Amino acid sequence: MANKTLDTFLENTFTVYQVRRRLTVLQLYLSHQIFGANEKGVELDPLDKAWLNSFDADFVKSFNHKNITQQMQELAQELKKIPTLTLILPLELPENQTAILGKWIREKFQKSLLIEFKTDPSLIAGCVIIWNGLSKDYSMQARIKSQQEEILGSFKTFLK
Amino acid sequence: MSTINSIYLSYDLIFAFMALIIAIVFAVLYLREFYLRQQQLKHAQKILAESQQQSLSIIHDAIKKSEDIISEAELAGIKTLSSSKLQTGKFEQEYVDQLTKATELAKNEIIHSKDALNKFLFDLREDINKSKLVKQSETALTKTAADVQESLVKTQAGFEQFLGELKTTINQSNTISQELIKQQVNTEFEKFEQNLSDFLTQTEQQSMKAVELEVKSARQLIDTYKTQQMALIDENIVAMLEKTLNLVLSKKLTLKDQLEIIYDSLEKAKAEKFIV
Repeated sequence: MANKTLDTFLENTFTVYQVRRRLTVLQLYLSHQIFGANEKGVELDPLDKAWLNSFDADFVKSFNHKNITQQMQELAQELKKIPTLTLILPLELPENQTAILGKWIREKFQKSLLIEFKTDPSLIAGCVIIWNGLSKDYSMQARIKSQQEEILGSFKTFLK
Repeated sequence: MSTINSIYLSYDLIFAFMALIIAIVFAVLYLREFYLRQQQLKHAQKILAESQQQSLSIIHDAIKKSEDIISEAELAGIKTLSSSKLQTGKFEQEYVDQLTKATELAKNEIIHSKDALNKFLFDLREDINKSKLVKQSETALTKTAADVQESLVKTQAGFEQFLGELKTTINQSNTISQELIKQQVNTEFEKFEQNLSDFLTQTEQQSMKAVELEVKSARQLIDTYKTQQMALIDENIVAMLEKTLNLVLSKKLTLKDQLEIIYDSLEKAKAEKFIV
């Protein structure tokens, strides 16, 4: 059940930021569903609403007043165990592109994977990948630095 | 040259003028003295004549007075004698006394007049001596004037001779100095030309050396600067390129292009088996 909950949770959740946000949203939503039927509904972001609506009814029904806390804790712990791929990009990607990239990465590499996006405009283009504590620079900045001698040589031919 | 001659001529004129002035002064002084002596002589002669007349008149008065007294005394004696014989002895005594008195008085008068005459004669003698002195001084003055005139003439001749000699000497020295000056000037000009040419040659060589040194140092500076700038460029070219690309590509690369490059990077990572 935990795996099912985890899979459901991760189906459209790709980034660490989304995980944190959606955990909170799910907690609030389920609490409202279970405990606050008579209270006014929680105001959610349209994207969060769309994400919640993507769940099937069985997923929501699997939570009740007895197990909600435990399941949420187990879910959070399971989520912490998922490896994180850190990508440092030269720009901030829009949400839809984040989802597309996330799907592509999970297809290419492994299904159980979370992405943490960071921004560094000095990279110019490309990205820096941090995985398992190791970093690899695939940015244009790194390419320029790696080809520094050739670039200097070509400049010097102009000067001569 | 003309200036020197004019100066010498002026000296001649000055000396001549001075001699003339001296001569005129001497002549004036001589004439004045002569005139004064003449006046004194006349005065002395006048005094002499007056003194003679005065002395004669005094003598005449004295004699007249004594004769008057004597006549009075004789008359008194005769009156007395004629009046009485008794009293002849007394009258004779009185007559004798009076006569003695009169004679004494006359004698005193005569002595007095004699003294006056003597005094007058003494004064006259003094005056005459003075007029003699005047005559002597006149003689001396005349002699002195003659001497002065003679000395003036001699002096004038001497001055003229001196001026002539001076003029000759000046002309000679003028000629000699001109020649000397010409020689010195020529010598100086030759020296100057030689020094100037040496100086110019030396200056030219020094200038050329200085210019060469400056050019060399400037070249060295340029080379050093070039090397330093190239080193700076080498250090910063990569940063400059990155900055340039960052500025340019950030605006030029679309999202699609960026994503493409990102996907390429991830493909590369997979190919390198970085993410396993």
